[in-house]
Amino acid sequence: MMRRRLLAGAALLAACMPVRRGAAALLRGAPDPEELAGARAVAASYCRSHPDDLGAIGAIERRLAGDPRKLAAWAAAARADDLAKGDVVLVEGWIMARSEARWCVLRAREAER
Amino acid sequence: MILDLRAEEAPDPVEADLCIVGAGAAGISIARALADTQLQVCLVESGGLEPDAETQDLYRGECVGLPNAGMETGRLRFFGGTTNHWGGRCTKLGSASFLSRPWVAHSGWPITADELESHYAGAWALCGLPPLAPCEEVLKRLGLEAPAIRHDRIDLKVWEFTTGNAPWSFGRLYRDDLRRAGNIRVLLNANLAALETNASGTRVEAVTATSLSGATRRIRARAFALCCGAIENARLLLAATRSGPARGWNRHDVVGRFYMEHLRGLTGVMLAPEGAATLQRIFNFHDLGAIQHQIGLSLPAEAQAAEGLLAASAVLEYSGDPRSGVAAGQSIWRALKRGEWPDDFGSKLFRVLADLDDVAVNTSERLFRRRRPIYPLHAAQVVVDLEQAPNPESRVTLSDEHDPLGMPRAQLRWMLGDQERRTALAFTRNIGIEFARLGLARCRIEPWLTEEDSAWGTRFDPTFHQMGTTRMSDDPAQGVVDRDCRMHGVENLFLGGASVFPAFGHENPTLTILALALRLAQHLKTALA
Repeated sequence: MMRRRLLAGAALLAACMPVRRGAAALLRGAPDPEELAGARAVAASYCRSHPDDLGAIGAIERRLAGDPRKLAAWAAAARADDLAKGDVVLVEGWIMARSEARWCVLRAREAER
Repeated sequence: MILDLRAEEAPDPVEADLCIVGAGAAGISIARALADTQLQVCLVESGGLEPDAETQDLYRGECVGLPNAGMETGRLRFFGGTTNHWGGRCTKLGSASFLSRPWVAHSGWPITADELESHYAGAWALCGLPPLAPCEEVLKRLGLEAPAIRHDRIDLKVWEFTTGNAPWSFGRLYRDDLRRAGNIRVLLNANLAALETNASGTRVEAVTATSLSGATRRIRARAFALCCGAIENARLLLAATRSGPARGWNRHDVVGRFYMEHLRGLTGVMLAPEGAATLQRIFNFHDLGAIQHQIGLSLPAEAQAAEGLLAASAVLEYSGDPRSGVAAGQSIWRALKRGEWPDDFGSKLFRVLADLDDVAVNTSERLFRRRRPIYPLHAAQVVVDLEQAPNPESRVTLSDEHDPLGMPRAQLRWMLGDQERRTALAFTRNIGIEFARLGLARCRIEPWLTEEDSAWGTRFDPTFHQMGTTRMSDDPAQGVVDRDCRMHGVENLFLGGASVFPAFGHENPTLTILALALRLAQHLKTALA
């Protein structure tokens, strides 16, 4: 039983490594250039599973684009607020504050520019 | 006195004030509570003092619902019953689980938590444990600080474990008490083969006990208590009510219904790059004096009410990095303790030396503060124990197949509803949110909980906590026994054990089985005086 659980856990983590990296980076609470691949993976998955949120992400982007400090401040405050309210989304099963997923999309778009 | 029916050691008929059928946790506790009283007690046990395959096979049955390995392997049919492989995890049933919860159909006990409270003290004593202190106090005594969790989402939960390296077997621990008691006769290798009633079926006059070798005795008593477990109690009653005056006992067709188990499953995986040490320091096993405790989590009553959920608890299981020095040191130590030379000793020793700081800290914590090692974590698994909602379609009936004594075998149709899956999902989500909010860990919910998976029920493991089937209710149309554990409509037939639970939280059932058994013993002592 224990062995089965451990193997299942390990297999899952291996299967979703990029999102896992993104999730781990978010847990540290700071945008990390080395975790861009993770952010991109989260962004791609989130956009696929939550297309209805793209409008809200666009609005945030218009408000904060071009100012990384404002974006980081918004991300930190919104994350705490979302987790307090329980406003979370599942990205490939990972529990994320909605703002964390949105931040990943913004971060991925910014890197593309 | 301990007698063996196979050796024809008992008189015929056996005369007693009380005949208890089943020498497991409930049966032994009732007999022991009546030791050295004026009452003559006969405790009838299907098996002997040691297990044997032929007797164990009497438990073989048919599963037609969800698979359930516990039907045969979960129960043990010899003196001491299932306590012979009990893990010893103890906690009281939460008071909220006694109440009728509008969002949980068929929930609610006819008695309150307060009515059982005084009997828990004796139940703890039977387990060799002091009553469990509140979690905050346990943490304080361990020198740990509780994380600032939001108690509307998750609560801390603590369990105590019976001590010792062997299972806390009531058969081993209390055998001599029963042997010495002048008023107790234990009859081994004696299977209940028939119940005799008066003409109207309102009273049991005698039972017939038969050994697999063919020896038979009638046991006449003023009262009878069936304490054979949820599946067996139902099987015996269903077999008894097939014909004759006892037919009316099941006129409401409740016997065997509402079979429940706890569901145990892996519902989430956690990464804890920063919080690994904090997690392991709190959510782990702890030794307080000689008593082992475990700290985990539970779903608060208000969260259950707000979202229409069942009760649930969770523990974290850790998957340490096998390349770490701590894991290598542990592996060396375990091999040496077994008297074996460790595999790959050179490379393990190298890892210990390369990670000497961590190894030294962990060794010192273990030796001087009796704390579990803190591993560099690969991942933590969220393992949830869930209440099962009472469901009349989840039931024990009789199979067409018969056992060697000519009794129909049990057929189990174990069924779950969607409330269990919803509870597992919401609880894991709450844990994930809180651990993310506190910066402790990031949680991934298992896909089978969130995706369409018609086989989700098979993702849970049965816990061998078999409950329901002869539930307690004041209404004979809704339950089999009344608040005194007396079968409705039969003045001297009582039922003990988890079969009488009308609903149950996430808590391990043994302590509550014991508390109810002690309550029943007190009732019988008064009623038969």
